[in-house]
Amino acid sequence: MDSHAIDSNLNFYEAKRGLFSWIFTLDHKRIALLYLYSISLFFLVGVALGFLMRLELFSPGGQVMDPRTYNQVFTFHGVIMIFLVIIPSIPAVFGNFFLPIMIGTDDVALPRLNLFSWWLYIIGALMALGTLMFGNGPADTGWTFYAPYSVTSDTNVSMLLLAAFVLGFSSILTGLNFIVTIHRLRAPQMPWFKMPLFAWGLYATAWIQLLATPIVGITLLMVVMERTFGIGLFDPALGGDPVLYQHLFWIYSHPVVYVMILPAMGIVSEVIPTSAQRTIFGYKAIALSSMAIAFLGYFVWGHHMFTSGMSDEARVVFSFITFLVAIPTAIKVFNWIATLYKGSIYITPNLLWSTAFIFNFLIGGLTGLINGALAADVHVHDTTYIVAHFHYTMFGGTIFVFLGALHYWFPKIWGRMYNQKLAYWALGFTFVGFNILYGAMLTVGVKGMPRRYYDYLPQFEFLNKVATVGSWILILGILLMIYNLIRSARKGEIAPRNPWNGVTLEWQVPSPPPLHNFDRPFILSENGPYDFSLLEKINEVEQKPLDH
Amino acid sequence: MSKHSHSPSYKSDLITFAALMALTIITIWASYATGGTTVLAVSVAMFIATIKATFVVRNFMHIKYDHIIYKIFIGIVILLFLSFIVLLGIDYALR
Repeated sequence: MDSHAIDSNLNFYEAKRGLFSWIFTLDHKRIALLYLYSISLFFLVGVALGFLMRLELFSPGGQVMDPRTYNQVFTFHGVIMIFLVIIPSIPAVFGNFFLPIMIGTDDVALPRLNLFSWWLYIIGALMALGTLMFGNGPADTGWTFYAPYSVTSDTNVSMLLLAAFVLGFSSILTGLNFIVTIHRLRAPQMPWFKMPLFAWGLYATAWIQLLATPIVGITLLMVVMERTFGIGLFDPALGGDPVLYQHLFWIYSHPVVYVMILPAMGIVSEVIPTSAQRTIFGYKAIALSSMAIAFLGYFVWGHHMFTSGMSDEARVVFSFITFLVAIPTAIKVFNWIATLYKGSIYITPNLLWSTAFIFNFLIGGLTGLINGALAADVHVHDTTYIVAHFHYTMFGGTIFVFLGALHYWFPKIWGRMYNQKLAYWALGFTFVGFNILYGAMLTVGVKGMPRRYYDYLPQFEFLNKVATVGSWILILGILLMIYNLIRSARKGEIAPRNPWNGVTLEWQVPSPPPLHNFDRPFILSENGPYDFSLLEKINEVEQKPLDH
Repeated sequence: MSKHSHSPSYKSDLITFAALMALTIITIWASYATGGTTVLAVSVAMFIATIKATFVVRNFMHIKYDHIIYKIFIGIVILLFLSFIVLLGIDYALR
């Protein structure tokens, strides 16, 4: 038990007040909320840009913008959603808030570095937004910044590259902080294989953040150098090699999809045992499969480049290794389903968000196998099929879990319960709208519609209309969810310590937690973090909800 | 760092610095001897740079005196880097 425990009546909102107490805070929970509010804001901007793109594609021909603007909109949508939303989302928000609590400590190992990470995030975000105001407008290269176009484009590419560089540093420092925290600050009674699976997911993620992000940082700087000084690195006109750019870019950018998905899988591994009221099936297999995915993820980047002009031998090698990643991923899915099987299942929006994730991610994963198959990939490459596959894994995967986690830990973060009826409706609209939108894009992509095209042939019109209508339903669901959560955070019922009957450590602290997290000694089982025989003992502790 | 481990000394720092300077001179000499921009020249330069990096990591960054876990981490990173080079090599050598 932490020796700095303080009066449980003083939660982390009440401990200090004022703007500066937030933007210069060293408390991991406050930093998590700073990330949450920043990321949510950029998520809404990204959604608005996606909405405009779908409006443009409602019918053939120009609708609401010109072709150049369309290129800039999809580039900015991609950069915001990837670098400002999905990569930091779960680690920076829920990792920051819950990792220290779940491993029984009072903060991350390096709190000042944690605050610095958030400030780097804000500086990077402002730089990205700055591209809208300076030079020839925002970049039009796509979020992948492929050379040689990124070298020759007259738009504001260099500033956006530097923004991504700064954001990369924020990600590296967060990863470093989590590795040190998990190694050094776990409760003495918590050996590695007694650690919650969300912590395992964050640990695997942190290694990717730490080792892969510098590669893309240097690569993006190389493009800036090429644009600024004319050094021939990637542009064939200057003696460079554009395929080398793609290699360097994807050496980072494929592992980074596991930065996006591994923490999400960790959260699902928390929600499912709590919802089924039983220990998780295959704890070690799930924990080690996170490490296996992180490791294998480093060696499959070439499957993004099957049509880029790589050697045939390299394409075969990358295709083979790609299929290996499916194994640890499938291990997780089978174990989640085995956990639910014959469990005492409580249906809550938390569980449904997680099962919706499993459904979406299965489609995302299976369509990914087609991309990994060399002979099939060349037919669907650069079609909207790829866009839909990516959104099934990243939106249907990571963002669905992010929103599910927001519901699961809502009572703990804000100390109030949300309106479950509205939450079901919001989830329903989001799930149905999402599948209409991206199901239609998958189908029209198989039929041959290229991605990143401003206009299309008349035979693609019906499915594009369906996709656009799907986007409206999806946005309705998101807005309903935001309304519900904001209203509930202000006026919802007061939450008890343990509203979902969980057994991991965050359910043993008050809702919301005190500044130093633990107000009394916590209970850890020798049988691992999901020992539900302890539930009665855990729920015996005094329940003193706090109003703030 | 463990209390019982050896501490770095000025003498060892100076020897490392001298070795780095000597290797820099050898790199310059080797670039002329091997033809400047040939594959051999780049390979020799990379080989010498790797030796220099090893000195820096071991002595200046004090990994030599640190816990085994940090040596394992660095070993994993080096293996990862080598695997990138091998996979890139499969493309570039056979394209």
